[in-house]
Amino acid sequence: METKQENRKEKASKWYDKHYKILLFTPIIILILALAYLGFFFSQHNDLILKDVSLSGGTTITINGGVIENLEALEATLKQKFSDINFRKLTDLNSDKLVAVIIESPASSEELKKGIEDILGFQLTDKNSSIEFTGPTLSGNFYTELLKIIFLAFILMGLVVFLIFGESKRIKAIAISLSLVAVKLTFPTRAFLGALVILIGVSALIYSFVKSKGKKQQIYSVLASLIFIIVLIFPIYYFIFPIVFIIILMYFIESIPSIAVIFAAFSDVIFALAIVDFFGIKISSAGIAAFLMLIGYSVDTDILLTTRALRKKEGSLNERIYGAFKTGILMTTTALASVLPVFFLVTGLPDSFRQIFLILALGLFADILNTWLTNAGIIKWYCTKKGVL
Amino acid sequence: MARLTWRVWILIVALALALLAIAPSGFWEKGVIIKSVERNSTAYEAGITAGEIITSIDGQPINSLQDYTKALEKFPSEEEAKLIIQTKSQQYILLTNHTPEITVSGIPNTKIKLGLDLQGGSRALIKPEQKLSSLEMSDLIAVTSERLNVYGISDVVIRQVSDLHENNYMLVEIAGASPAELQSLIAQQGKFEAKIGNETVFVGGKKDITSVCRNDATCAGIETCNSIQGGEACTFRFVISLSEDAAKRHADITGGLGINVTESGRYLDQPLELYLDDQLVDSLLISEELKGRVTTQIQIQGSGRGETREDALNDAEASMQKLQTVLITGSLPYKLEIVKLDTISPVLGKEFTRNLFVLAVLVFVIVSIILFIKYRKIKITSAVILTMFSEAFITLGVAALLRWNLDAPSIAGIIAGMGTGVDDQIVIIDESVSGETESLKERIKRALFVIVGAFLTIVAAMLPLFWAGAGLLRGFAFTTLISVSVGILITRPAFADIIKKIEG
Repeated sequence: METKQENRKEKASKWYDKHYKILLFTPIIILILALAYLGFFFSQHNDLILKDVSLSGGTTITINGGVIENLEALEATLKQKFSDINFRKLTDLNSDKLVAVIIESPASSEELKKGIEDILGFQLTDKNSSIEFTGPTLSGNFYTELLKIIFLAFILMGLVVFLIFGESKRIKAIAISLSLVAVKLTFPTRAFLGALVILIGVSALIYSFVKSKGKKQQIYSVLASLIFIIVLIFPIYYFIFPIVFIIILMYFIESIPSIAVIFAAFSDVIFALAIVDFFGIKISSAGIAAFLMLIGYSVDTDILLTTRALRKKEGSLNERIYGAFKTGILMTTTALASVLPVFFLVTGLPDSFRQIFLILALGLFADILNTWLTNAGIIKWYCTKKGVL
Repeated sequence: MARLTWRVWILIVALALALLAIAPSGFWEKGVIIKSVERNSTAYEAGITAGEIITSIDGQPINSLQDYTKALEKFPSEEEAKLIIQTKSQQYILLTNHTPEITVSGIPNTKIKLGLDLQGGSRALIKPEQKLSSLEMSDLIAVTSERLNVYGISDVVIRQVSDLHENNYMLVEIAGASPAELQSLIAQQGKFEAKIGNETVFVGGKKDITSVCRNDATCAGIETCNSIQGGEACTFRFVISLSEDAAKRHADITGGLGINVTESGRYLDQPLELYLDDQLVDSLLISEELKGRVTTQIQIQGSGRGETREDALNDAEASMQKLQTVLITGSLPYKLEIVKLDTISPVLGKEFTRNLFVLAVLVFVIVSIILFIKYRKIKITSAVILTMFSEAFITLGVAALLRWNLDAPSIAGIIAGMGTGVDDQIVIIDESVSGETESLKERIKRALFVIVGAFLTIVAAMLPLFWAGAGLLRGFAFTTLISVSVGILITRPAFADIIKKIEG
């Protein structure tokens, strides 16, 4: 019995040794498809997502389920009256009760409210409905800000990963100073934050100088200092893109395991985004916050994998990866299973809440592929090359 | 009985503190709490203030809203009747023929505050058309808050928020109800009028009032304090300057008035009445010597009362400041734009809250089942569930302590935080049960390394959200960060010790 199991394990291990590179590229192909789809989507909609009214401006009126008698008539008449209207029913599957009707439109709140009141024949008050209005001034601003925040979150997450798995302290110091520059560019006017950035950034740069041995190493510190000074003098947001490019290049040269983790998180976000777009789901501000959460949440399993593969001493590399897989898949399954009731059992929940969970679920699902095929494959490749077995 | 390590003790203490912060006082406190009192109403004049807890009316104990409604069934009545309202601290006797102009609600069971989307209420985000300095902004907030108070809305929070681009907004949040007039209240420029009889003497703003003396002891301040029946009273005075036009109008109108002789002095027989958006704010006596004179300097006076001299002084000072504010900014100096206005029905919120609760219970059940299937050990499964619960509970405690309003995204944050918590615990369990050559301590250490790494990445990803988008999504970032921090600082170390005990 025991030997049979051992035998099977050995076979699996050999199979993995032979095929991990193919496995590694499967999610990458999916990623390329997802990116291509997003490109196509962008060309159609001139944006990466379909924005709901909280991000594009407009009104959401939520009418409590109990007060509406003729739902079909309301929907039909409203659709005649307003050209761009979104009509949704929120039903609690558990009790099969209509919780609410959600009506979204770019119209102003007075306009939409009056339109609905005319059809229903009674007044909408805070006893029977909720009205949420977002003006175009706020929504436009809000959206750009959230995009900037996502970008920054990525940079900071990447920094943390590099600080955990990177090897050279000198390069880590440079990574800190460059990432802080990104913080400074995202929050250009916060004086306190600016002071903190300068304090930590300069100390990190000095540290990197001290630790440099020879001219070749010093060049990195000099370049980083130059970027640091230029950005402080000219805080132009678009500088963030070349800086991010430099940071990624640096991680790539210095620490393959780190770049593998960051890459997995990036793929998770892209997968989730492509699926949400594909189904035409309109994203709210809460949904964008969910993407932030996803960036932080999905790297859990990657950190677990990388730590087990690089730091654990017992067992073969394949055994360590397999051990990490068993733990990680349990983590993700538990998380996904806890999310499911939101869609199948307790569906009478606020929209913002449901959207956060939907995006997390999609991202975590993608994370299974990205962690255990791509990231694991890269780590195995890396360890094999480095002779860590 | 196994000995508890200090880490487990910290967890126990944190749980106790959280329980204290959430303070389920509503379970033993009886009565209804006064949410707001309408200004210039009988109840207002009797001195009833918001926040007091009514324990009985006309001798009947009040334990619930139903009791309260029942006790007031006799209104409206033809004749005025005596109404004895007993609160926890005081007794008020009202003579009235209608229900007192107060709003009440049941005493909340816990100190956990739900956000607008769950308990109902309204929220407005207002952007001035030009960029305001923070001083101008606090003036604007003072005016708005004054106005809302005049309208009898007490459960309101107004604060300045900003976004990444340093745009300043005013955020107005009113819990529970959505006043019908809200939109005009907060964004219309508003009308201030000083009237004698039916004639307008001057209106608020720079056209009629050229300056209002503030923070200058020579022309503004508390004048005298006296003992009066049942306490102390202090009078305040301050000088305002009228424009020439307004001064002349004042002379014309006062010229035709008679004189009243009272105990405290000789005054004109009609008071100067101050109106804000057509509501009476204050009524001032005009001293005799101002009759018919063109005077640009007018001294305005008023008084404050209190049980002690200190109370009276504070009250007088507050009244003076309020009046000054009204005079200075009677009409809003800034053009405002409502960029967001949400009025959320409390009815739907109740349904959502109940469903969220059901969901939380379901999540616990699902996680327990999966872990039990995987590990087949009651002890380990219950340790995980207990830790999950502790984490959520301590997070709620922190939220209650900081008076954080938990909206739906905040609760999503707590649940997601619990999710990462379970993940971490799985890492600890798997490290501790697997492997033979390395010591348990070493393996737990490696598990904690993974956990700290995961914690830091979540913090890195969520922290920037704190400052974006006028703080509208701060709740989500807040609860996620609190929840993972509670995890890393309190529950994870305790859990590691518990697992060591179970496995060792």
